[in-house]
Amino acid sequence: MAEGSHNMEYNFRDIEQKWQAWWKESGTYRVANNADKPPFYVLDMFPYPSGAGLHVGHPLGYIASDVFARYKRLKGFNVLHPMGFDSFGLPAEQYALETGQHPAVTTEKNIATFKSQLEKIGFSFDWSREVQTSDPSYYKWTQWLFLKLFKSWYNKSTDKAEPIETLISELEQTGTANLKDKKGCEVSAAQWNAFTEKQQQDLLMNFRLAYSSYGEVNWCEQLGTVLANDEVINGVSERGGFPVEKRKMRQWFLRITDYADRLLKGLERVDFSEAMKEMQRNWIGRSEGAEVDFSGVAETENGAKPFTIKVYTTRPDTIFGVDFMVLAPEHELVRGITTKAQSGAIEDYLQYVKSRSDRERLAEARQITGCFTGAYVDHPFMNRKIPVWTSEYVLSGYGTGAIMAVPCGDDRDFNFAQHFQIPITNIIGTAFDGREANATKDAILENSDFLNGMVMRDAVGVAIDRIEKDGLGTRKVNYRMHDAGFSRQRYWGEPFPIIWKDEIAYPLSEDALPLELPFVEKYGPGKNGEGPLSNLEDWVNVKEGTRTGRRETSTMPGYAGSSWYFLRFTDPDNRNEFASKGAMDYWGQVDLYIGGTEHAVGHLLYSRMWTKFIYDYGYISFDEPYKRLINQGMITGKSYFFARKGDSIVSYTEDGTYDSMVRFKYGHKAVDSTGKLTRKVFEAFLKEECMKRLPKTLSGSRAG
Amino acid sequence: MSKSKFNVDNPDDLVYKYGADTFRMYEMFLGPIEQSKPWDTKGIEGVNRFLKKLWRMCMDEQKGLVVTDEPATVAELRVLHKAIKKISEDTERFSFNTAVSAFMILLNDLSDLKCRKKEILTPLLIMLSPYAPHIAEELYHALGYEGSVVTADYPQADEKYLTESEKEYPVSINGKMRTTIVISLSATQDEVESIVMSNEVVQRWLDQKTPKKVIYVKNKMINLVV
Repeated sequence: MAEGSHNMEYNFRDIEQKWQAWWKESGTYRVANNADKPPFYVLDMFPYPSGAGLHVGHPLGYIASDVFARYKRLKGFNVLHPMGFDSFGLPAEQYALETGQHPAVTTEKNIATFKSQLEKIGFSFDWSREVQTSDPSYYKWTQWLFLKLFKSWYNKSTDKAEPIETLISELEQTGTANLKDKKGCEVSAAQWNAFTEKQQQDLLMNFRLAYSSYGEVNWCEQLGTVLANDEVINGVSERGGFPVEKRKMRQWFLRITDYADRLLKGLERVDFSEAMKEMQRNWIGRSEGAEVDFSGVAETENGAKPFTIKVYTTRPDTIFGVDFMVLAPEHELVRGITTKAQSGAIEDYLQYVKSRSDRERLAEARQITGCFTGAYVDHPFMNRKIPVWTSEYVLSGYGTGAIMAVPCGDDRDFNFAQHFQIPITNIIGTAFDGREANATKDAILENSDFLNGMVMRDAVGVAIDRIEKDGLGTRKVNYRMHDAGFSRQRYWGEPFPIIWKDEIAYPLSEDALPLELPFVEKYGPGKNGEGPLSNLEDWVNVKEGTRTGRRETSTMPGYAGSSWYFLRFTDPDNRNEFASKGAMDYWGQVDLYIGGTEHAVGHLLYSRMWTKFIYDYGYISFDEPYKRLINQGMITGKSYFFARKGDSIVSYTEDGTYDSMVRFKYGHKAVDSTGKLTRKVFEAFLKEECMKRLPKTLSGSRAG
Repeated sequence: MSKSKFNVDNPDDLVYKYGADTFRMYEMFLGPIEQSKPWDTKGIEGVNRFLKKLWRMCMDEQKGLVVTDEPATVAELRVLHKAIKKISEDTERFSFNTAVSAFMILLNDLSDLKCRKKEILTPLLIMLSPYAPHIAEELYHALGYEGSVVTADYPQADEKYLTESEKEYPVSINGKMRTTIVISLSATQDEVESIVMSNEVVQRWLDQKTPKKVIYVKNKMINLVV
């Protein structure tokens, strides 16, 4: 028997300590990139090293993956089973703000705690491959990949990413004439060649895969930062529970929408649960329809003004059922077309909407709000005036930010018409009973001019053809997904290797990487909503030869480092490349990826996009990162009280402070027939809801 | 205000109290990996008992290692190979909770057979090592193996111990079930007839008569038409 301890009882403490030390010493779990065995790659979504350390929910996925990794080893595979830390992120910075401790210090401490906890559970991780996204030797390559994205565009003709130079040379020769996707830009070669550098760079910004633009963002005053949509829960920040409002700001984005079709198609080739695929499909939200122009003349305070509202509709067959138009409150036309009589009401309404999150606006269907602008458009096919309203149920980001409302065929349009007593046109005869909308595609059209007598689903194509023929609009594919916001006005993230000069963004040269995150004393926001880095004048202002400029002062979001870390594990010490082709070819895709469902539309989509991008450049031979994904369920764990507050369930930490990491409406579901919240129903509901959207705090792993 | 407080358990505390192996197996035992479930430490004792039982199967407090080199019996091999098949298939399809219960069944069966044989325990420990790596490593070394259990080969389920060689047939006379008889699956019609005819119960019911027909459906039933 193994030397020594002739203690014949099951003394697990001694036994476990002994073998953990022995495994560590003998490098039992080290794995080489080349072995005579077939490779197998088992990966956990790496954790964010929070100060709270591990709880019982954390290890569930890790244990499952460890069991499988060990099983595969015994079955004769060379198994890569690494672990690392997603160590940039807001919580460390928030903690720094509260305590004055530098995030680097707290992060290091937290990682040490995590590691010792993980070690005690006896995982077979190859720690020699550990990566930390906040380590300069790692984020050098995150910055490098960002620059690669910045210097690329998506060529719809070859259906892949290409160096921006190929676009420039096309612009020099033929302008935008032959581009399949012009991104709203129309220039001839002559015009392009006559452009100033600034004009050229501004145009290129419309094509770059990482680009800067003014975007509407979720601004949180208390946190002093912009938050991603999934960090905003019911109008308050997920962390801290502070109010969030919309603001326009210069931001960086990833042009993930250019990959939308490939992200959809790729789902057919991966082994994810159908529920997970459906979540991604919904998020991408592809639909086919038409963009249609509705024109009118506004009687504004400044006189008559012609205008056009562009709407996107997937149901052009219902065009004769349009009874009103709705503009998103953020739509640029709202103020421009409002009549004098309505301007007071509109201003009040816009003020109210500012405080509402997208989620609230979409979720609270029962609450109907809106305001009439006083303006009308003409129906494109008949002599009818259609009133133009604005309402929060239309979001500015989806489609054109305006809709044609067909109350007989759409629930929300119907409720809106009922609420504001707008007369309803019935175009589907008995299929519409006047009590609720009927979204059918199978009814026969009436009151519909050239579409009369047609089955609705057949009329879609006929309507689009006619719209195109009459020059009223065009056939169009639309996505619900937006380009992903890629910058935060905060400190603890990767600095952008970008210098601004005269409003032009210049990339740093590759040999200047990594651009290390400078040390700061204060983590508070800078002026005008800029990040803390803007307070460091010496760092921000750069002289490079004759060029003087200002560094980008925002930093990259949490999901930057986690979008490609699985590749780094194959070759973690490489100083010359993000990973060698040999290493990535040897290990290939992640064979088994385990983590929570909370990353369904964040990390998993972003990392799939980065993988496709890296594939387009030929660095890897696969364009889907994960062959198989298992989402571990949640263990409803510790340290939170869930309590009813109004009609929401909120969470409190153990000491009773309101935390709001968990806050959602339970509506009628958790209430029994007498209207009381029963414990049994409450818990069942809670479990389901937590799993659906909020397990970040409970299931532990965080890779986004 | 309706409140619901969940248990406060830190993995460190549980590992300290029960050990990492118990903790690992228990987390896997909680239910299907993809389902959400409430944390509840009540069942952790059961998993802990399982590991203690395994320990005692190999180790005696006074005598130390009590594992023998005797060859395994067919009954022991049957139990083992059934478990190999079940546990490897379950692990392969991420059904870890059912694999854990298969380990428990295996240990109970071996305990009923009073088995302490190296030939059986070695593959058991190898199979267990992904779930409870520390105790598996400890006992694997105790059995005299050098090097980590990680480098071992996973046991293969042997078909010959998985297929049953005999069957307990219901024997009917004129459609009424009268008794059961264990007969080898390889028996021919003639052999079956002679076994059935020499059976006491059958003889009693036949009462000296000779059946017109003996219907024998392999692996199913036997019916005598009188």
